[in-house]
Amino acid sequence: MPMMKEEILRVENVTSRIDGITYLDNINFHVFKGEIMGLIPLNNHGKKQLIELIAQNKSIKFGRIYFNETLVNYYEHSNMTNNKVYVIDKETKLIESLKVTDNINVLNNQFNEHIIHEKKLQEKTDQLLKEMGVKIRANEYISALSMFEKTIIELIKALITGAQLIILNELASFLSIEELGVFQELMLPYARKGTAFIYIANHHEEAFKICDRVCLLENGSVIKVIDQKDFSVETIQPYIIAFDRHSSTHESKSFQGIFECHHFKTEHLNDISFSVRRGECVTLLDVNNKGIQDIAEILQGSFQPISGELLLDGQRIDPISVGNLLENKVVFIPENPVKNMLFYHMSYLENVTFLMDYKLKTYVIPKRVLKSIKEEYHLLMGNDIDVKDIRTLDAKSLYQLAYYRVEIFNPKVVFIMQPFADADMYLRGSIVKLINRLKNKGSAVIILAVNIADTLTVSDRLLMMENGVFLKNYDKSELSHVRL
Amino acid sequence: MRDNRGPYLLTRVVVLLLVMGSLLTLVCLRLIFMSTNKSGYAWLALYAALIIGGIYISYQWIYRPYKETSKVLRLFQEGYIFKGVFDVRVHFNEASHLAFQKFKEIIDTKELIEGSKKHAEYLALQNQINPHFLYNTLEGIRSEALIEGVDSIANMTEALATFFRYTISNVDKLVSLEDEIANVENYYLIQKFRFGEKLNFHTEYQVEQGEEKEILKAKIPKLTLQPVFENAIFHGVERKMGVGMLALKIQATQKRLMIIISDNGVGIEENRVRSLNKKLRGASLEYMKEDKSQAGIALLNVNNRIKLIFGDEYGVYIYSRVGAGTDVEITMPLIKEPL
Repeated sequence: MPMMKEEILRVENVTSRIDGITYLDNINFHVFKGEIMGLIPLNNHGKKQLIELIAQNKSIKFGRIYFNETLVNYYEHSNMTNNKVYVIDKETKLIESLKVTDNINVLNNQFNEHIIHEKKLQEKTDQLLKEMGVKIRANEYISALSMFEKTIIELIKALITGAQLIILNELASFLSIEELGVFQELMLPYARKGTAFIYIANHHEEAFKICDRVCLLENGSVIKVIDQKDFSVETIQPYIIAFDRHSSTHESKSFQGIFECHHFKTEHLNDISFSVRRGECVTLLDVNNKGIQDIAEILQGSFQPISGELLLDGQRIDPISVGNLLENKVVFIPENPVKNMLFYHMSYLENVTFLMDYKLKTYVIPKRVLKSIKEEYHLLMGNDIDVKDIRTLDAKSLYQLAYYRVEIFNPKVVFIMQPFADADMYLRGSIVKLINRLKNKGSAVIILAVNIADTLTVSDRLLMMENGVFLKNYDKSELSHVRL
Repeated sequence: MRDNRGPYLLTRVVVLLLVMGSLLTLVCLRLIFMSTNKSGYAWLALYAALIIGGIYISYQWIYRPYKETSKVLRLFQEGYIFKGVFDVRVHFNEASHLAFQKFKEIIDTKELIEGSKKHAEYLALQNQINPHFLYNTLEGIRSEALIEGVDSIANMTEALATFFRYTISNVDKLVSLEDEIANVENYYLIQKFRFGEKLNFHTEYQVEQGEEKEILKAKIPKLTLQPVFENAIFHGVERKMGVGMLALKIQATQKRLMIIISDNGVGIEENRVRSLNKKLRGASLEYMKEDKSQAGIALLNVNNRIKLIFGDEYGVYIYSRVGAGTDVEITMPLIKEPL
């Protein structure tokens, strides 16, 4: 008789309430052994709590959780034990100051030896890495590895520690398309051998490529489970909001001015040149995730290019430093601006006017200016503008705050690093609007991305970069056909 | 996990009180008869440690189980669980344990199962004597007779007769999944006369190759699928423009049988889905008082019977969205032999 399917995880009618907030609301789904179950969070409410609850049997208000067909957590009793689950996300759990082999073999609850045979372990790890076709040496330090290599080491560590379920949390937000493809190739044989995966992705196109089934998470409930044979845009359409491509771009508006990057050369950029007009949005898509990191670091003043120059309206920006860039109204919005751009000890108004001193060339912003900003933006920002403690605001308002700060500065060029990373569907819709506002105000917008998703909804052009060289330039008319 | 039972709460309280009491007596005696010197402080530290230990044990051994048992009773009172109340890990005392056992025996879910079963029959019969149902069916027969001739009338009448027979007979037993699917197919045949090309149905076995036959032998309560199927037609695809697609998907593990009935109909409004799923979480007979014509009554009935027969962890769950259709997931234990 053939072997029947086995459930590795069953989440049954689970309700989780923390401090009066219901994070998981009667959620129900199951994952089979060897299955790659996609999880698309339509909004991020409850996502973190769900991941935590799958990994550890924390107290729940109601429901039951079965792991490996055994009841491990239920409404009456939660014993706080850990399940054989490994979560891979942007924040690596590897110890940076230790070698690959130590991270894989020694920092592992399966490792019971009292004496560490370093050479033996190193050979074992090298052999394992070779078998998997991974070009990383066992004696390398984690700190020397790229994000992609760290992710692979985490996968290997998860498998070595005996994880039966691996949760992959939004890989596309930190791996490039090429890296993602390689990673998926690596995980597939293990899925066939029986390891289950929960593949959390923000985009159905990405999830449909690799998953056996996909479930949609909204407000802490699974609202739909889609079987592989039903994977289609038609099936998912009623559940997602469509970002109308170029909905708010004013084609008729034309702005004078151009931003140019001439023969830029760094360790990972090989003599690249491009230009962007004011009011235009260009996406630089980096297939290897190296070149755009260099651009980001240059814009943040971490280092200088080996050669090359930046020109704004024909005038050279020299030196290329944070201060001089701001003087020339070139602004950089880092990845996750809510975390990296805002000052939580300041009020909303102080945050939003943070760059005004550069614009007004004064250290203290006059009260009348503040008053007029408040009046002008009250309609747009609503009551948020009066908020003293911005920690009380939700993610959407915080993103707005970060972008409005840039908008008030009236920049000529805005670089945005991975604008849609870590954002749920509704938030991404809001970010699209914010970028379109910058374009409409006449800024040249340059999006630095490793993933194409959503950037096309705001872009007028796409420049695809591989190994530090531009491979192709997609025009507006070609963008709708771009599939990566 | 549930078998982790220990002494009754009352016994635990008594044991702990005795231990703590003895310790306190010892401390008092020592303080009275011994002068305070260096060794006296050491003894006091030891007693303090023992008392802290005692407090920790009372938290783990008495307070937490007390809270857990209280939570189960509250969940029972709120309608979240039904059978689960008999399985509390720690009872208050022996008398309450025995009382619960007796209560379980008396109820034994028999009357509730009977009530639900009767209600299921009633719902099914109500449709059979429903003038619209009869009218539409007979209208189908008549028009077929006029156009086609004799064969189709025979087929249709046969389908109708088989459906009637199945609904009325074998009420008490669990039936095989195969019989239930046959009944659904039969019901589809009858409805097909009315809806024609507007209605499509297919069955998918999402099981390993060769398992299909084995799964079809699985036992399930009678009239589990047809009411859900009927619901999908009348509250889902009938109101929708275009072709209505119905699918019956079967999944199984060693322990569970999962049946999903999907339609691409109008779907259910979000708040209604939430409230239905909340009702489906527990077992109660409250729904019998509700308006019979309301969508979801059949689902509540099926859910109730499954929970009463097999336990709180099985039942029905709905996934739906307006404009996208509805999936009804029925979960049961995989039973290959009759109970």
